[in-house]
Amino acid sequence: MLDNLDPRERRSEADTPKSRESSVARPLSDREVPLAGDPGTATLNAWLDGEVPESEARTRATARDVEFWLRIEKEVEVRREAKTPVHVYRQIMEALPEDAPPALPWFKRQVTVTPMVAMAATAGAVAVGMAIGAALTKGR
Amino acid sequence: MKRYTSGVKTTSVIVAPRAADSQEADHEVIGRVLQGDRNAFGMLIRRYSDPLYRHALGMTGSPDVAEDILQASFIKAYQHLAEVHGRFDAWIFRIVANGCKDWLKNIRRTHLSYEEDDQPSAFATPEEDLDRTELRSDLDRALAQLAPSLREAFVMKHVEGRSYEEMADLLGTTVGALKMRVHRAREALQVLLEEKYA
Repeated sequence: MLDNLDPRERRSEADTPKSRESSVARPLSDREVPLAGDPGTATLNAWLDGEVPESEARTRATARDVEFWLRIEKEVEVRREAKTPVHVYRQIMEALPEDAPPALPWFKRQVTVTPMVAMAATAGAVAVGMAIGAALTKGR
Repeated sequence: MKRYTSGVKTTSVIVAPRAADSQEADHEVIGRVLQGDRNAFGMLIRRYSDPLYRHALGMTGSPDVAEDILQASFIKAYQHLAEVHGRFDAWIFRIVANGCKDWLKNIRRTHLSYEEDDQPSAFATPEEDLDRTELRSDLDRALAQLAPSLREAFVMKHVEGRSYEEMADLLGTTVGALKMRVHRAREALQVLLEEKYA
């Protein structure tokens, strides 16, 4: 086993940077652990998730944070209305192959296993097994 | 659960049709396409292109790239249409989402341009418009600095306005994991933008 020489791995929790600035400096990973945020941040997220009213966010989070997210929301609201440019539809239709989509090859087709099919398959497998066994015995 | 009006639209404002009858309709359309009715595929494009375009635009920050990804995804979907067994909207979403992730893997961007974006301005004065253009560019740059999974979660939640349940359904993960991603993305974006905007 190789030794892990990365000094960051040996940091104690007390050494771990906790400020917002440091969380951006290090890579943003996708850890699914709860954020150790303050109640203000939790309320802010709850408001942004539509779980609490704006008035509650204003009492628990800072006014600066609430105003910031209202401003961001005003910007994303415009993006939310974005439509596919009209020419894209035509471009896609022109680029489609002339032929119909190819049918699914037999090995990709879904097989529905009913009790009858299962019994038949089992019987077939047993018959093949017996035939192989008989052939091997005869060969000796 | 009661939903409050917040800074963010939390209801699914851009949700592909999901009712059982519309799924039947997709299935029927796919059947027609497989039997050689090439034009029927246009119905599927019209039905689903807008939310997919918004996803690609949010992930890449470039209208041109979003169009290319959308086009490539629909062509790929057409060629493999016989392989659709479940919901077409979820299947095509995965193709587009993977296309976006592949693009992000292959490119290193230092600058994002929305100059070709011709979305109408929702702001009243030229000053507000200028201010918004700057915020738009800064938001794009900040989004580009997020890990793809965080960016994807933020875009789906905030830009596409999807619910966590729908996101979990499309991405094949849990609501809790997605909430965590969205919260982390918000935290990171605020750090990146707060000096200028907060």
